[in-house]
Amino acid sequence: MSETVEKKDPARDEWYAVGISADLRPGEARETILVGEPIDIRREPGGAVIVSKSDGRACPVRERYGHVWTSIGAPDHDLFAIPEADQEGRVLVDVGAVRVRCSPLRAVENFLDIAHFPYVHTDILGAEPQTEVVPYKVHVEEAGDEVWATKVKFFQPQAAKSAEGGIVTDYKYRVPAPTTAILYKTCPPRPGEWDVITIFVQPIAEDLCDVWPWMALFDEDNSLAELIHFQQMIFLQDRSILENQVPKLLPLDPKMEIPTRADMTSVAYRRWLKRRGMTYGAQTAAA
Amino acid sequence: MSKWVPVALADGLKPGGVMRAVVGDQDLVVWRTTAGAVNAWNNRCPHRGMRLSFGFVRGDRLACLYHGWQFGADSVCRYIPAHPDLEPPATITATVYGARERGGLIWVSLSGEGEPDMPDIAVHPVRSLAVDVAPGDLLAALRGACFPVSETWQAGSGTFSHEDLGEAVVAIDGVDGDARCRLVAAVQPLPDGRAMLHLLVDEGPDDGPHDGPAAALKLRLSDWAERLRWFLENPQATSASWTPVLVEERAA
Repeated sequence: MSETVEKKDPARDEWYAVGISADLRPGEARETILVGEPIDIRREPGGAVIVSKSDGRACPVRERYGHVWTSIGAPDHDLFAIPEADQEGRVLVDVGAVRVRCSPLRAVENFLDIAHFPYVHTDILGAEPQTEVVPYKVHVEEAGDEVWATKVKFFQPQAAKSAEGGIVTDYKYRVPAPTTAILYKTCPPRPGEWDVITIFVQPIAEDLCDVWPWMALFDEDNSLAELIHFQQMIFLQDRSILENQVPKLLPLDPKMEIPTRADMTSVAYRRWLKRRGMTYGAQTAAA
Repeated sequence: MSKWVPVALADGLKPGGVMRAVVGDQDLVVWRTTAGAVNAWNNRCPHRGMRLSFGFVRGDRLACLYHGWQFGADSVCRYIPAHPDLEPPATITATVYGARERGGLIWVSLSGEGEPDMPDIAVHPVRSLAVDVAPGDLLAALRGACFPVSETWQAGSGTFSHEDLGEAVVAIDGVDGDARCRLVAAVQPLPDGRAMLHLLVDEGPDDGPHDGPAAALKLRLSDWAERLRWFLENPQATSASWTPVLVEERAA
């Protein structure tokens, strides 16, 4: 056998966003690190994107949802689908990277959490005394092996840039890959539709990541700059939490951190990671 | 081990205040209830690991910044905002360490055994200042230090005596003519190898914190502390002006 057969590794054999497509013009290149490995991303004059490792080996590439996606391993599945990305009338927003000194998994878990809204995003996504998290549903969708949280409701003083005054916002959460989370929320200007807000997390190291938020919204009133500014403000508030959680790695041992009913999504996410053997950025044994 | 460590001037942590302190390799949150009681816990919320030193005080409880979980002075979780009607299980607690107020300082101990090694004297706070030298070197310098006893004090004048009030506390008595003044300096080891100097002064009967002489004295001593820091952090530098350590002590 001439080919090297590499052991399956859930962290390596996964797709990750590593940059904004539109920012990479023909002939341009950038370097970054993915799951500890340096990679080189460049767009050929003809338009195709090439991602290669330092030894010159080529990595698989997709361009989807405003970003360049790649893997340093061999994914046995294609990039997950976000059907809303192709829906007519949505504004697609590339927010740009926020670098966070935390585990990529902690960043995703925080994105799945609503109980922190009144304290971390005070008077924007939540406010005292409306702090209650009413029961919601969590399940793992077997077909795509995705974590879903549905029927989530929370009072928000200013749910989105297009929201005026407080409303009870409906949410759905979807985790299609270990470091990707998609949030569907009430869309103030278009009842019946859902705004889509995602985070694509690029693991750089187990305790360092670039978070690439991306949105597909119905919003005719706000400029792209305003939408980006709103989302960046929210994520920078999250960063002050994420960089101060101890330990930095996400504990998968249930004895390490005590959940409550509001944390059902987090509990399901941790179990799902454990079952998949996704331990990059996780702490598996109690310290 | 029943070692107590001075982590702050008592005056520096106001009622309702929250701060972080690191003792050995242990990260602590030190906070004061609005009624004034001092507490020291492991700096980690048992829920999602957030440092509690970013939290806020409501009455006699410390609340975590992340989800607002409130912990009573006994560290037991009393309120989870996501579930206002739930009585939290008594098993949700932080780890409690020893905390005392003594001699104008806040002391903490990981074991909580014994008492801080310092008499509970009445002193007034001046300031705290981190110095980039080993704690032992700072203590040694304090044991040979001189300082401006009065506004008219000249370098080289006056007499100074030094007394250890505890393992980490030095009192410096200065006399210059009719003027006399007692400095009290406590040294806290910092995790990066540096030392924190907590400086207090015994100025005799308290005339109130805002009267003229007291403010001028504190300013003078604060300047002195900066001079001491510069002197210790720049051992090779020769300064034309006076040194805050007696010459024979520096040579020794």
